[in-house]
Amino acid sequence: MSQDDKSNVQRIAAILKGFDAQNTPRRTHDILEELGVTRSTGFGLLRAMVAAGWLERFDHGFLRLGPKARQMIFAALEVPEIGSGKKLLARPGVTGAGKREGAPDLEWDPALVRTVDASRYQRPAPYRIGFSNASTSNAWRRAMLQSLFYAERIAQAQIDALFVLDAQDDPSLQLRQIDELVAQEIDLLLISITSVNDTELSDRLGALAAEGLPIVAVDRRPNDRSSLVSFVTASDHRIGRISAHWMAEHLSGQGRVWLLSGLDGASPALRRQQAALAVFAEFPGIRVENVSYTDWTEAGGYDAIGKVLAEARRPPDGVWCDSGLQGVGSVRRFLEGGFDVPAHTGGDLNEMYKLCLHHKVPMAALDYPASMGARALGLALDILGGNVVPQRVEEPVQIVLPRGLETASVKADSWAELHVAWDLPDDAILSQGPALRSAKRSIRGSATG
Amino acid sequence: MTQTAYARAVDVFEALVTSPGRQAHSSPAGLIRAADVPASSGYRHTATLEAEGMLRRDGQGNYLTGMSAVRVGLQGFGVGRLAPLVQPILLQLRQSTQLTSFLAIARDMELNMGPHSIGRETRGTRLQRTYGFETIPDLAIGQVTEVGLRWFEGQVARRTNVALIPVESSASCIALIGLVVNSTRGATDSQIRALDQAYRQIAETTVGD
Repeated sequence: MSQDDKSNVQRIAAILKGFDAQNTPRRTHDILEELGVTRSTGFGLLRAMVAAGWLERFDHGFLRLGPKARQMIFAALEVPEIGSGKKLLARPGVTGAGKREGAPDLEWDPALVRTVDASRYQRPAPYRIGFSNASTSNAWRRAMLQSLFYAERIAQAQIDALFVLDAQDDPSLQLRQIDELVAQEIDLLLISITSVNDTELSDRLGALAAEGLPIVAVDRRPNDRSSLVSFVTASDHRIGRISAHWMAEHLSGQGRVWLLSGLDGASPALRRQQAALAVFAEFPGIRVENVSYTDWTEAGGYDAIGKVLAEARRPPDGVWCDSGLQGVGSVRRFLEGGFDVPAHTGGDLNEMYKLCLHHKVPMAALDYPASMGARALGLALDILGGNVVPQRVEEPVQIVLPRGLETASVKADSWAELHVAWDLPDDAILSQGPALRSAKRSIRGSATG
Repeated sequence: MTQTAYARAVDVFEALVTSPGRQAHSSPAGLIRAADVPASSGYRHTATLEAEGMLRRDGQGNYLTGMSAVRVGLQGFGVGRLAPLVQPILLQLRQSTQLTSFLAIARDMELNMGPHSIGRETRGTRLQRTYGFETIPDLAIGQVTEVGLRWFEGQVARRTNVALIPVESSASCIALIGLVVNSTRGATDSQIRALDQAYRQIAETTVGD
């Protein structure tokens, strides 16, 4: 197949994407002009698309999307189980709609269906995009960056340059770096904020938004979200709430629990902790004895448990961790101290699954998806393409449990025994999507920056 | 370039974008093989379509139909407005009911199945691209209706029960949110409530600027 044919596949996609939400017929002349090809190539493609049913003639010189295009709505949002030998969905212990009837309704987040018309940010590709990253201090953050780079490689043709700066968790450094990125004449700013409450950062973002720069937050956003077009995240509330619910039910509503949060001041840590505390408050027999911050590091988890063990002199019944990043430190501290390891929560890190499964530690994990890096870049391209986009994008979070550890209201989406990757390094983040396999081969950087 | 070459490009496009619906493929090679596209150009086409949002990959690397493709499909029916809402609403609906949730388009006596999220309670029910209504449905915007859908497996007629709530209509079709329900028990009160909640979310959606 020739080089022309290859680009024709891309042109077909561009033609199909050029129609509006109501499928308003478009003039052939306008389609060809937008496509920027010769008349012979353009008409050849359009004729082939009409013949195959992707487009249909509406009136003389007008075309609209045809029956084949309409068939594209048939799409699974997740991979169908049949044919997927790699991963089996967990089977519930109790099935039937009757069982669900008594379960509490899950919350509906109205923010997920609010949308923004990004047509005012529309400009022709290729784009210059800046990413002001809060830090790369832990494995999750590095995995999220790998995910972003993966998406960049996929969308290389649409990206002129991707500039990435690491603020090392320092708000004042991030403030300077934002200006450096703006000086590079970027079309869009991606940001993962170092501190949710930093007013200088918020003010600077507000000023840039007022000047017309589209800003998308990923993972961490400022408290004042007015400067953002959209925010890519996962439900921290869901992670905190479900993991705490599992812990409380696993302990039959009775016991002492220690909390290990991530980074003090980081919005995901705050939201997960608040959600967990709200759940524990519903169980009068659960006593939350202390809350420690760990910077989402193994050493932080290890030291925090060492400190509270020295004070309490006996291990708790459960350790609620908002991530396995510090959870591994906690588990290791109990093991090294010769204690029975109490029930833990927190996924993310491959090592957390390996440790808990190997030592038969009861655990519940909800991986915070590092694949949001790729999702953020995809959203950035959607915005610069002038599409209507969600104000808040949530990557789905799976509940991962070892077999036999489901509770009355917390059921597994996936078994830990199948989720763990024994062949991958301990610091692998399993939720980074296809970037995980790229990272397995080699750690890569930006393709264009 | 000959007419045949343009038609071939259209064929390649179709083969690759429709492949994820038939089977799970966790590598470009698998997708290209299934699509019966020459390997020499298949990798580049696959990457192109992923970049265009016509294909996407999930957390395990499996290929899925991309959200741009879903948007184009909905635009084809004149209900493109629903495109950014589909994923969060269907995921919430599936999570709250554990049933397969879907968006579908009714035209005359035919139901075109759209994006869907497989729930663990009904994952044994394989969805079809199109169904026929067993009887003329009484569809009213915002009202939940339980109906039987008919489809054919060879010469054998099969039935799938669903609960539907129409959310939007255009000149020629009606967009509906639905749940595949247990064929003997039907939809429970909480499932009907969840559908109603999904409808209200869509109805109250406004586009900001």
